[in-house]
Amino acid sequence: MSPLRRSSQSSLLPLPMNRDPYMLSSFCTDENVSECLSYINQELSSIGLTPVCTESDGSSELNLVALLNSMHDLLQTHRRGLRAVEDMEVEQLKTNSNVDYLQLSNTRIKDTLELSKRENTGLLERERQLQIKVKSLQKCLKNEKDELQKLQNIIASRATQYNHDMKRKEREFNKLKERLNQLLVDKKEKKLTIEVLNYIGRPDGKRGLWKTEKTEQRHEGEMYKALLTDYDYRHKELLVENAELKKVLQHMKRDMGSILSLRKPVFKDGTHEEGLEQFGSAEEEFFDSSRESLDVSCEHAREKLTNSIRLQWREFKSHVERLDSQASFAQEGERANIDVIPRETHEEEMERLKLEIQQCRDFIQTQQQLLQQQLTSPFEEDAASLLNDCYILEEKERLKEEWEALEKKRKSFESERGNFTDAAIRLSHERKSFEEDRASWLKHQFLNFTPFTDQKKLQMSKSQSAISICKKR
Amino acid sequence: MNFSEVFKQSNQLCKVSPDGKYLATCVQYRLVVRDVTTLQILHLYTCLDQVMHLEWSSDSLFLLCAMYRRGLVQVWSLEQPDWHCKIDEGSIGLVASRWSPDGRHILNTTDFHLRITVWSLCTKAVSYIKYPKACQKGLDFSRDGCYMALAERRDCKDYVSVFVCDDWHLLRHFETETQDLAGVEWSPNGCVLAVWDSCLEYKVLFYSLDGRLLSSYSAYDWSLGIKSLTWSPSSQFLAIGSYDEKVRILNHITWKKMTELDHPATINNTKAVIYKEVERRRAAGTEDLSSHNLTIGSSLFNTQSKYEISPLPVQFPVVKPDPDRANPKVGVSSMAFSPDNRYLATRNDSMATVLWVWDMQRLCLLAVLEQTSAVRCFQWDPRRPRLALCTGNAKLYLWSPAGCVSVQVPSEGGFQVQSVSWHPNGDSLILLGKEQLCLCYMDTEDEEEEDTHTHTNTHTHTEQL
Repeated sequence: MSPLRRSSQSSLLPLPMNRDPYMLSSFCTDENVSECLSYINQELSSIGLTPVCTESDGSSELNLVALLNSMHDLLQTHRRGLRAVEDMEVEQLKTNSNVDYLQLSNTRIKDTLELSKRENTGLLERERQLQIKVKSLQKCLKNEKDELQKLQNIIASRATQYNHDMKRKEREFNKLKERLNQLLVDKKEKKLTIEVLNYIGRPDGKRGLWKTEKTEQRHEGEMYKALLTDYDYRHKELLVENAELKKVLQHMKRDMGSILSLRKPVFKDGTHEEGLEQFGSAEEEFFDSSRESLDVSCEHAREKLTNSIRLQWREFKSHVERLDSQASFAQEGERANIDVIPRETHEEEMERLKLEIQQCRDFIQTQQQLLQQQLTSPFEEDAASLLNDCYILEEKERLKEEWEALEKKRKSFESERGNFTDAAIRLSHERKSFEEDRASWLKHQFLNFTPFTDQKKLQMSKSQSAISICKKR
Repeated sequence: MNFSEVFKQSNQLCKVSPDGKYLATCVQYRLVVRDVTTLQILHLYTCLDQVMHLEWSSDSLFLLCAMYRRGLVQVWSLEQPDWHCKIDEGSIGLVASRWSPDGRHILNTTDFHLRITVWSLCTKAVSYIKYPKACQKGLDFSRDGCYMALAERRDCKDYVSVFVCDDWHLLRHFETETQDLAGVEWSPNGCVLAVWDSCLEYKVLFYSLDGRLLSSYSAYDWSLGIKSLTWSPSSQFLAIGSYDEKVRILNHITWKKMTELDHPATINNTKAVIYKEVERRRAAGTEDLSSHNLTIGSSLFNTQSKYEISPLPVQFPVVKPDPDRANPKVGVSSMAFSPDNRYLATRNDSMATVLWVWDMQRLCLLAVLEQTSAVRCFQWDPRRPRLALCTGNAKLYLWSPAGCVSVQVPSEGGFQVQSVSWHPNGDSLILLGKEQLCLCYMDTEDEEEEDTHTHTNTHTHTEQL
């Protein structure tokens, strides 16, 4: 409190200290005492204190007691004000510290919130991953179950097959045992015999041979001969196939080479050199092929042929791709590449044609149907013809009416035309007469050109009348 | 198209001789030999018991009649009707009997497949072959008749023996890498032997004529495997039909799979033509009841049918097999190549009413025929790409690349066609019913793609058999 007091005191002091001590009396001087008094009265009354001096008869007397009281009151108020300021400062400090504390806790809480949010997202992510894992595991489980089921089915079918076979074998075994028993019991055994009236000759008429080693070797030899002939035959077929395929490859190579060389002049700028290169390589290939045809069976030549075809095929492919890109580029841009028909217009054309064909087909079909209808109703012919006649009659009537109307119109047009021609003739006549009049009048005017006014007036009146007539016309 | 009269037969035994001149049928215990063109009876033989198996010799001179119940085989000669031959297997019994390719030896398989007895008709020699295997196709002769491949099983292992048919000399004997050998088949050129495993394991082994293993092929493990197998006539392809409803084509150069032909139940997108047989009931009164039509018997009960082209997408009726039974009715059980190697006809057992025709040049589906009932039998014409099939009703169906047609078989009392087989020259078909048979003579012109009205042949024979 004492430092505050001091500070309040110190706060007191600046008030008067600001001003020059000699200036204290600047408010009130000898001259404006009464004014100052009245002013102070006013101020005091406005504050709520008793006025200092009472006004009586124009001369203001200074009430010392009142003045001291009001001074004391003022001092009290001042002190109270200082104390209030002190308190308020204390309050302010307190609130400042509170605010600081709150801000601190706020940031702390925000941090914790941030942390917990992050934890939450992390947990959600984990949960999602776990769910995915669960799903995949479930799928695996289902697959395993299906496979298990399948294997069980297989086992079951195999088991039934085994059982069936076992039963069959057991039955046969039992039959065998029975037969054995029967044979053991049955003493007289029926021997196997053959009764032939006479033995017949062999199919090829030759005599039978004894089984000797020579015959065995002969059989072996025949067997190997059969095998070898079969291999020979297959080998020949494969050779023929090989030769054909090689021929086809050579043809392909030749065709590809010719196509690539033909395309050379069509190439634009950047591709020109490539075209030359290809042509050069094609020439090289041509030269090689003649050599290759000589040693067809050589492994090296075969490899060379396949490699060269592969290279050419690659070039061909790149060339076709280039053409494709060129075609699409030509569509986008506006250069009309005559050689390359853009695919879309081609397709559009095709669609249009197809539609046309379909329409034509429908039309033909409906026509055929109608025709069929007409042909396949024999007993309705009379009625149909009658009906047809009716329709035709109506049309005929309508046609007649229209014809008459047309005739009438034609006649009216003709009359009008006649009128017009007459009017035109008349107009031409009148024009001619008018022209003649004008010419005569001008001549007249020209010839009778005099300075005399009455004559002029006369003529003026004449000319006026002529002019008015002209105008009327 | 002309149809002959209906004759009796029993046990579906009706065979045309290899030279195409004679037709042999069995009626109970009698053997009837007719001329193919006139159907006149040329010979009549009487056997000792009901004939179970009938086979012509390769030179068309002899006929083999096997009676399994009594263990007897009787051989008849066409040139000398008095000649007779009887083979009695005795107490050992008889399960199968067949000619050798030279037409002079008879191979009898005894009961329980104990052994194969080779009887010679030229000499008094008898040979025995031990341990033949009882399986789907345990014995196969090569096309040229020189070699015979036989599947054997000893000590729980599979072997294949190759014999020279001349003198039954054992040429090669080798073990195969199979679990349970199901069949052997020579390629048509006679140089490769295809050996396949039972349905529990998908495995095909290729052996050369001299017994070397050339290659092996297995498409998948564990599921049921091969159901049927067939070579193409040129030996270029091997078609394997399996229980997974697919056909895999292998090529003869690398023995690797070229393509898989799938048989799906729905087809959404294909260039193939899908024919659907549509039955059309004749309403009484709208047809002209001329006397000609009335002679075609029971026309009121027989329904006409024709093929319509189905639009895509198409769904076929699927019969799901019983999972608890062995040998389930699913998978490709029958396949046949056309003689020109261009087409392959297949049938998937789960969609038994549908027949699939594949183009071998492009390896894609060419045509699908959907019938009203299950396809029982189909066979290619031996000369041209023409397929005949039957579904157990009174109609005959023909397909060719030009189109397909359904033909009513005229008969009194209904004739259910159970199987078809072509004459070797491709000009006529033999239709077998349960107890009847009928011949169908083809026209030399091409068939049209509409119904063809058939009329009976002007044979005046009436058979009393």
